[in-house]
Parts: sequence; C-alpha cells; structure tokens
Amino acid sequence: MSYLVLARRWRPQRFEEVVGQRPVTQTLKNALASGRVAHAFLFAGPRGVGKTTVARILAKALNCDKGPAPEPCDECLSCQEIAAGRSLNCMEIDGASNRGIDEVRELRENVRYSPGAGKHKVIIIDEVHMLTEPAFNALLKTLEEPPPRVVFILATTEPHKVPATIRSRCQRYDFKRIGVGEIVERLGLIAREEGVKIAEDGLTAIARAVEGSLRDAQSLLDQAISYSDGHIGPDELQAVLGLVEGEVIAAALQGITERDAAALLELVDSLHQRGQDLRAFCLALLEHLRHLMVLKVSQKPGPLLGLTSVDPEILRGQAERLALPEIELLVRLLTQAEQEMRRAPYPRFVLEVVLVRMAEVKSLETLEAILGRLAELEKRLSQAYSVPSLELPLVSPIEESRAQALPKEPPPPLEGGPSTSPKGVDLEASWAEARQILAEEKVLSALLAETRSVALEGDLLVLTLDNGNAYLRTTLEDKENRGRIEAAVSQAFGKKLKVTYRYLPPEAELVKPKASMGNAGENPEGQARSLFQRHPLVQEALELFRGRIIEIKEGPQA
Amino acid sequence: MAFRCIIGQERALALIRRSLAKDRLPQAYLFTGPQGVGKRLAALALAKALNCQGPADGDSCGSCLSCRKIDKGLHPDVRIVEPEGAFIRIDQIRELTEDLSRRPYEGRRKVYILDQAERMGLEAANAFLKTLEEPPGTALLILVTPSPEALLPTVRSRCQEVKFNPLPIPAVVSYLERVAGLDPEEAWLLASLSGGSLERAMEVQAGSRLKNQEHHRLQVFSALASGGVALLDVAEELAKDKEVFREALEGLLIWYRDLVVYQHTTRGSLLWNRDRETEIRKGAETLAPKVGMKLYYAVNEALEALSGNVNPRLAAETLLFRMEEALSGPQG
Repeated sequence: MSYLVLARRWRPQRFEEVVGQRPVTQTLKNALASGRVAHAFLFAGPRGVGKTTVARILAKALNCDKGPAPEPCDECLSCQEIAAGRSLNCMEIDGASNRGIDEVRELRENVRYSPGAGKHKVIIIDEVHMLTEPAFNALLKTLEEPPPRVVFILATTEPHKVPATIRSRCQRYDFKRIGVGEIVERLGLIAREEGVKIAEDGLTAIARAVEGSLRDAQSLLDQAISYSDGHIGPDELQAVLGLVEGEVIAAALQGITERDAAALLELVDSLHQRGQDLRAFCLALLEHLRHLMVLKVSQKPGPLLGLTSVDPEILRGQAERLALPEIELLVRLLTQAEQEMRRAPYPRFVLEVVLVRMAEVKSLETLEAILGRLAELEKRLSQAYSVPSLELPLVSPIEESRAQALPKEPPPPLEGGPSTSPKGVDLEASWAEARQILAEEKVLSALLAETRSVALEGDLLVLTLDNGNAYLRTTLEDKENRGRIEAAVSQAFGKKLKVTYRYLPPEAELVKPKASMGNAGENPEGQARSLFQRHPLVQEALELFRGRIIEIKEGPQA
Repeated sequence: MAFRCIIGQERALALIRRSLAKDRLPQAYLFTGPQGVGKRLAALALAKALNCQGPADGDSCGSCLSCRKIDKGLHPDVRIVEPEGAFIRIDQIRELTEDLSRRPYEGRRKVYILDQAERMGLEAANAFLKTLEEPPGTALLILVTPSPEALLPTVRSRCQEVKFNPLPIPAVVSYLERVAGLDPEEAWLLASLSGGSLERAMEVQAGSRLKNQEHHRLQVFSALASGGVALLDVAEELAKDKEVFREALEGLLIWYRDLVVYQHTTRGSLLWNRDRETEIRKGAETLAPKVGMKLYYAVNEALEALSGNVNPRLAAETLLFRMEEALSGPQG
C-alpha cells in the first residue's frame, strides 16, 4: 500500500470530527435523531471543505447497525464497508464521468432494488453540475419521489449550474469556507499526531494561504512534513509556500517611497537571477501594501495585520511616509500588473514597468491635492473678474502679455440694453457697417466673420477672434490688409482707429459664449479655460487620467 | 534524464526527493512553472527513480532496463498523456482511469504524466476529479502545466503543487557553454533572452529569431522616421505572418523595456540586449522618459491585441500610429 496523504488519512469519520461546518452537521444530526431525514440533498460549497466527507458520514449514520443514529458507530460492518467504499448500500457516483442520460437510466434501474432490511440505499452523486441536461431531466421524477428508503445526495462546487428544477427537489446545505482559526486547530492536531513540531504562526501561514480549504491546508502541511526532518521552521515553510522574505518586500517599498526606480529595477534583477517567482513577489508586495493601509485606517491594527514577515518598526515607518490615496493608487497599479503577469510573455517586464510607475506615484500630487489647487485657482480667477485690476495668477508668458493688454476697467457691455459706448457710438452697428465696407474683400470679410467680440478702447478697436490658424493670423496681420481694415473701420466709426487682434485658445469654442458680443475682449469662460488648460498642474492631471476638460465648475468658496 | 541532470531547480527537486525518500509521495502532483524549466523532465526523473532497478542515492541509475525503457518511452507503466489536438479529451481520461486500476506490468509503480494539463477540457477535468483524489491502486499522477490558473480549482486542490522557478540566468549560461558549446558571449545573450527557460534558449532558431527581430525593429524605426505611407507599408508587411509579427513585437518590447530601464538606472548590466548598450544609451538620451514608457505600452498593447485575436493588420497599424504620436508628442 502506498502512502496515503493526510487529507485522506484524516478524513473525518463522524459528524463531530467535521471542522467548521457546524450548522450543516448539527441539522443533519437533529434530522437523524428525529427520523426526519429528507430523501434528496444538495451539498454546495467550495473545494475541500467537507461535502463528500459529510455525505459519506450521513450514509454511514443511516445504515449503521446501531442506527439510524445521530452519529455512526464507525465500528459495525456497515460503517466499515461504507468507509472502505465497498458497501452495496452506498453508491458513490462520479457525476462528471457518468454524465449522460444512459448512466442516469442505469441508476434508476438500480434504485428499484430495495436495500436490505432496516437499511437505506444512499446514492452520492459527486460533481453533479457536470450532468448533461437530459440526464438531469431523467433524474427529476426519481429525485422527487424515490422508492422508499432511497436517499440521494448531490454534491457540487457549482450549484448555479444545477437546474432550478433539481435544486427545488433537494434540501440544500451550503458548506462554508473554513476559518483560519479552525484550520490552525485541525492542523495542530494532525501535526501532533504525526509527531511533527511546528510553531503556531507556521500553521497560521499555511491556513492563510488556502482560502478556507482544509484539504489544501492538509496538502501543504503534508508537503512541509515531507520536506522537513521532524521540525517545520520558517525555511521549510518558505520552500513549500514560496514565501518572499520580509526584507526584500521592505526594500521594495522603500524604493517606491524614495522614488528610487533604479534600486527597484536592480531588486527585480536580483530576484530574477535567483530564480524567484516574480508573481509571488508581486502578491507579497500587495499584501504589504494592504498592511500599510490597515495601519493607516485602523485604530487597533494588531489582529487585522495577521502574519507579516516585515519588521513592525519598518512597517510603521513606511505607513507614515505614505498617504492613504497613494497607497490606494499603488494597490491599483500593482493589482493590474499582477493580472497582466499571468499571461504576459515576459512577466518580468510587466513588473519592472509597474515598479517604475509606482516610484513615480510619490512624485505626483494626489487627486485631492490637484482638485484642491484647481479650486483655489478658480477662486482666484473669479475674483480677478470681479475686481477692476486684473490680477491673473499662475499664467504663462503669453497670458501675461495678454493680461497687460487688457483694459484697466472692464469695457461696458454691448448687449442687454441700448448698446452704446461711452461716447454714444453704437459699436455693433458701426462694426456691421465696417464689415459692409469690407464686403468687397472676399477673403478678409470671410476671416472677420469669425470675430467673437468687438471692443473700443480709446483709439484702439479690439477684435477678439477664435484661435485662428497661421493663415488667418498672417493674413490679418499683413500690413496691407491691416491698412484696409483700419480704413474701413475708421470710416464706419467716423474717427481714426487702430485695430488690434486677440485670439481665443482653440477649446474656447466648446464653450459657447452666451452673448457673443458680450463683455468686450473678455470671454470669461474661455479665458478661464485657457488658463486652466495651460497650467502645468492641469496638464499633469490630464496626462495622468488620459482625460480632457469637459466642464469647469466653480469651487464652493467662489 | 535523472534528478542530477536537472539544473537550477534545487528547491522543487528537494521537495520531491525528500517525499520520495520518506515514502510520502502524494497520489497526485502538480508541477507548475514557466515553459522549459524542467517540469516534465523532473516528472520523468521521478518515474525513473520509482521504477529503477538499481537506484543510488534516491536517483535512478540510468542504465537498467527500466530506466532505458522510460528514456525511450517504451515502459508500459510510465505513460505520458498529452493533448490530442487542442485538448486533453474525456476519452483519454477515461482510458487512463481504466488503466489505473490494473497492477503495474513490470515496474513497481504506475506513473501517469499529464503534460499541458491546463488543456484538459472542462468535461475531462471534471471526470478526472474522483480519480485524482482517490486513484485505485498505487498509481502516481503527475500533472504538468505552465499556467495553473487555467486549471479548475477543484483539480488544483487535489494535487500537491510543486512550483518550478524560472532558471537563474547564470545556470542557463553555464549549461549553454558546457553542453551546447557556445562561446560565453553568445551564451549570455541567449540565456538572457530565454527568460529563464532552457527550452527557449536551446531553440534551434533562437539565432535567426534574433536576426529577424532586429530586421523588423530597424524597419519600424525607419518607417517612423519617414512617417506617412511608409508606416502603412511596414504595417502591411508585419501583419503578413502572425508568428513573425509576434516575434517582431517581442523584439520591440525588449527594446523599449531596455530603454526605460536604462533611462532610470543608466546601468548596462540590467539590459536584456547587452550587446546593444551604445544604441540604447543613444535612444535613452534622446527620448523623454515618458515617451519611452508610452512606446513600451504601445507595443505591449499590440501584443495583447494579437493574443486577443485582433486582426493583425489593424493591430500593426494602430501600433505604428500610436508610436508616431508618442514620438511627435511633447518631449517633456
């Protein structure tokens, strides 16, 4: 007989030995005690939590020579036969291998032969989700009204694949993932019985690696026992679980906080040289970030931190150096990379690139900070419009020169009420007249049709145009053309005028000015937009989010 | 192939050999790790050690009848199951299950190796579950796969998993020098290109692949320099053969990865293409770090698109236009 793995050797034989499924086992025991056992069960739950085990125990309890009893005696012939898989009264069928309608028909034939006196015929169909649809349908009638003393137990990890008609004919029991504490307890018992020494935190490390599956946990313990010589220490666990050393993780995070991409890349190189699994490293770093987050958020982080191989002092220091939004961003980047590493031809590259980006995170301002500064900027801008003297902060040289060219006092509005200038000149009408005069000049009049607003500043007529292309600008600035326009304008306005042009930035046209001839020379929204857009901070934000400006809202204080 | 011939997998082999020595082998193993690092060899070595007539030090002798039969694939008790076509089919699993219940013909223990186990169809995998957990008789099942995530969790949970790591580069280098007789420089280049996979390093076409990649890279560079129609021409040529395209993309990916790494470290020893340090330095100095990163991502996305069955021509054109855009964007 070859070696039997722990998971099989330690398969519970009685309800009370089953770990972590008390709601299920207690209900079944009560049903057995009161003789109200249903004829069809559906056991659902993740892998390795005890579905098949409980099904077998139930079969034993029903057929026990001293029963049916809440617990099988585990000594009588019947119990032993079932445990060894030799009983005629307990059929275990692999639903995945016998999934067709023919197999189900055969099964129906089979259940017609009644079990021996005082016995039950228990049919366990494991992996029942793999039955074909006709097979399920063929089973329906039998499942609802089976011959007397026949019990069906269907077990599956994927109950959603079982048709509703089947589910509604069964009593359903949901098996839960097993808690870390319960797994540790069970592993401790097994380790003692097997004569192996292992520290409690070693058991915890195993229990945490298996997502609540006791079979997986036993399997890992099995391997650790094989690998060790009677004492399972950190080295053995490291070999079996593929853990990454705490120092490596701490060094990686230090590289990130200090924006030292070079150090990070060298770290990856050394891990790779050693043949370390880079995805395991990635996961360990993720867990470390999670620890940092817990430290930031929780008042009593102790129990939430669980097992960490990083020095707690270092952990605390690093938590202080990172802001919560930064940690969140790092986690997001790393999670994405971990996914990508699974299928990338060069997982190492994915890790390298993401680490470089993570090193940049610290140098970027957080979204909150950016928004805060945007709000501040807006506030100052709106103030700039409400006070006479235009103080435009944070502007590029172009903006500055434009700002200086702006009038000290906002020119009067052209629309809304009688559109008159201080000197009684009807700006709009005169401008229309000037256009009329220029109508002969096809090109010029076409270009001037784009004029957004007109304003008079002493002897200076300010024409504000959309952001023109080079052609538009050179044509208008052309000496000869300028002469023609000035001549026409002077004629229309009845006095000698010079003309100057201002151009809106391209996106200004997205914001349709409510009054196209409004506040002369001023298109507040367009101006604000252009200011925002050119600001390095905003550009950084646009770059970061690959975004574009859709709307500018005023901050609460404005 | 015996345990002693496998390089660079000390940890994995220790796990297996200690279980073997203590007679604590599980009924089912799952060997995972990148392609071409020795998983299947280790499975065969274990089969040999189990059945060897004159084992020494827990390893097979390599000369007895059993060892020789296994080496030639003739041993009736050691069988390899591989995908027939795209999948390992349910019939193959059924046949295996049936055969498992028979006693070994001449060896001590039956060993079944399922290579590329991730290619088990859903039905095959489910039909395998019961056998995998409680196989009849004394058989040992070894599942081998580079992508354990692709297996059903219920399958994984029934096996003891042994992780094989990418081979350390120095191990590959010394192997290439010693066994394949390459000169040190060539060995280094192939080893670093292999991503820790001996199989890749030993590919006969590895050399020609390098040449192809360089050819395509230069093609792409010159097209980017002239722009316009040249881009479309190169896209058309790249997209002609999907495999060639993929190789070209991998070449570009390595190139831009090197660029990004060099921009951040200025250390030649971290480069994949160590022989191209001067060119890479030149590129690293002329491009802004952000642009390097953008180019890397453009290539990476094209690779992903190709794996996702996007029309190659479309992927190539998108790639080249994105690269052009990245290069003409602001350098700051």
